Amino acid sequence: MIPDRANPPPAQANLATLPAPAELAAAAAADASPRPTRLVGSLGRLGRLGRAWESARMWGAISSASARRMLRYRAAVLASIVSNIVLTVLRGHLALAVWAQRPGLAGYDSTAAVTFTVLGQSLVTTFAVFGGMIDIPWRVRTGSIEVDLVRPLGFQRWYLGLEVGRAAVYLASRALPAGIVGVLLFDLRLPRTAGAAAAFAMSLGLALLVSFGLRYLVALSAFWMTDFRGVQAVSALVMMFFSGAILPLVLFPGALGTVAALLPFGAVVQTPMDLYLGTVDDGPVRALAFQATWALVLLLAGQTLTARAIRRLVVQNG
Amino acid sequence: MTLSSDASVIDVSEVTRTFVLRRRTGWMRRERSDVHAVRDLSFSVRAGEMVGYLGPNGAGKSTTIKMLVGILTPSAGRLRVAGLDPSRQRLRLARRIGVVFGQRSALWSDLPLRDSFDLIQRIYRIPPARYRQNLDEFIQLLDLASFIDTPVRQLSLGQRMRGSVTAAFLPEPEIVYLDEPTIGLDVVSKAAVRSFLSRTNRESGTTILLTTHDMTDVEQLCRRVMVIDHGRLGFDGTLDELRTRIGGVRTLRVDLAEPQPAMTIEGARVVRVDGARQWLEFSAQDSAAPLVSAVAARYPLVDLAVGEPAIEDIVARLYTTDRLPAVPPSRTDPDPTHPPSPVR
Repeated sequence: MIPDRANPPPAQANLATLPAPAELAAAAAADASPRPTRLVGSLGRLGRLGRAWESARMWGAISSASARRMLRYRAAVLASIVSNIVLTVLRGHLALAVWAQRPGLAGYDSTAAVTFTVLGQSLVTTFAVFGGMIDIPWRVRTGSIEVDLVRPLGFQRWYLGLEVGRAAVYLASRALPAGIVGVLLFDLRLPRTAGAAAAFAMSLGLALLVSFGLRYLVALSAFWMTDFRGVQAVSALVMMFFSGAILPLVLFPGALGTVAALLPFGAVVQTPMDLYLGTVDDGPVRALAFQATWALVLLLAGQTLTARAIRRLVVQNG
Repeated sequence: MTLSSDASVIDVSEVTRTFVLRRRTGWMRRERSDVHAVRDLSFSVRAGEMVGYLGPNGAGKSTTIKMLVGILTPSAGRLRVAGLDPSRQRLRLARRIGVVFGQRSALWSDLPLRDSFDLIQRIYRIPPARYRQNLDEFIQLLDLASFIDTPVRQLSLGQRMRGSVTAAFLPEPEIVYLDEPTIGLDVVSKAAVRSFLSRTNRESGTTILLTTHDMTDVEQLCRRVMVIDHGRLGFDGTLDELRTRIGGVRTLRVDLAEPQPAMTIEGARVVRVDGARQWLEFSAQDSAAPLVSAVAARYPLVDLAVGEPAIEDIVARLYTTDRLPAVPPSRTDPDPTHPPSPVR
């Protein structure tokens, strides 16, 4: 070996410091059984309650990260606060004008109508009735989806965890400020009873599940399609129209009205609204059951489709 | 040396992965063709090994890793990692392995790097004391302190890679796969990542499989090298064995006192002349010493340098020259009267 090589031979130098393969194998053999359990072991001691607590903290942390990620964009948050307030004020005045011309339209008086409009705007943003907000399509296209699949957590749950964080941010930065301005500017109705308020609060949670369930299915279609934008646009229109956000579903005539009342979209805006205003026909329990049923159906459908989507990716890589 | 199969954590036997390509050849007519990304691949990795997985682009390296982590099923063959079937037991396996997918990051790009680590602690349920201890150690080894509170999207490539490596190793996985961990990195980051990998492998006994194009990675890290091309494993052994087996050439760069016509030296040939600088190629098995003295005796030598064969060249030679038998002849030679030729 000559001393003045351009590339000193690091391989040899380094190998000398490495343990021999026999040592490695022996060390590994001695180490093999305890090592996999060294982190899992701490879990075993926790018991059922402790594990549930750890799990809750984990999902809390995931939702929180999702929320903080959005709050990093300060200018966007500020702009959305302002634009939602402006939109709410405009739509509130529009509703007042319409109901001044046609009092009692849809069985609403003008207070109910303006309440519907202001509250509806808040629900639309919080539950992303305009569609999207689940970045599966982008991740499928870029291949980042692989990162999601090597995480030791269920795929659908992960995205639900992110969605909870997003909804919290939208609630705080879009719905609440606009709602407060609405309360100050207009004569809004409040829930008549504590029961109605409680039912409304419950329905918000279910509305989030239904909204997520719908948008998740749409997002999953990206596994089968090269261009996702068409599905996205159509689904957003349908969801907006049938949610009751543009017009109360009770205004839909005849068969369209019947169908609209059965579709899941109403569970996102119309049902929480009805519970708030106390205009549910068959009582709050039925309305909540309607939401819960759709939430369950959609989440189960999402789970089944997730398994197929992952299978498709894993088996065909397509 | 113990080669008992119970110590092996990765077992790949006769694994083939076929992709179906559908090409549209006309209106409503499609042509189907099968592409073998990996073909009859067999190898096993023992616990605590650090293996370099080499091969040109499209050779099947990433396909292999995808199968090992369970996000791609083999078309044929058997695959076991830590006793699990990766694609069927993907989530269970995910708790026990770490993956660094080149440029695809598991980090939260909008949040400070630390937030990604904190979330990993929650997801893998790392006990707080252990997490702090690990993180402190990694911060020091990978020199993360100056940017751990910076949002990931503002980090340089090298900083992000150091973050990704930390994320993969924090839960103390048994096996870590790294796909091109040093590609495009600055010198400092490369060195940090290399010494971190070497140390973790040595001290924690973590099994590491890394793909790379970087010869220095292999030389500094990998006792064992596997070379794949066109989906087939062409070599499995040490780097020195690979060099010996392929033969290949080393280059001697000499700077002379003044420009000269191409030198004539036995055992070497001039491949390039640029002013007073000349490049000579000689067999990788030969010693450079006699060559250097021969040059020095006949020419006004100012400076010289010896270049090792690049891994790309070695790999290319492995597949473009005559197809070599799967095992070096020196190993299988049953005749003890013909000892294997000495290495170098």
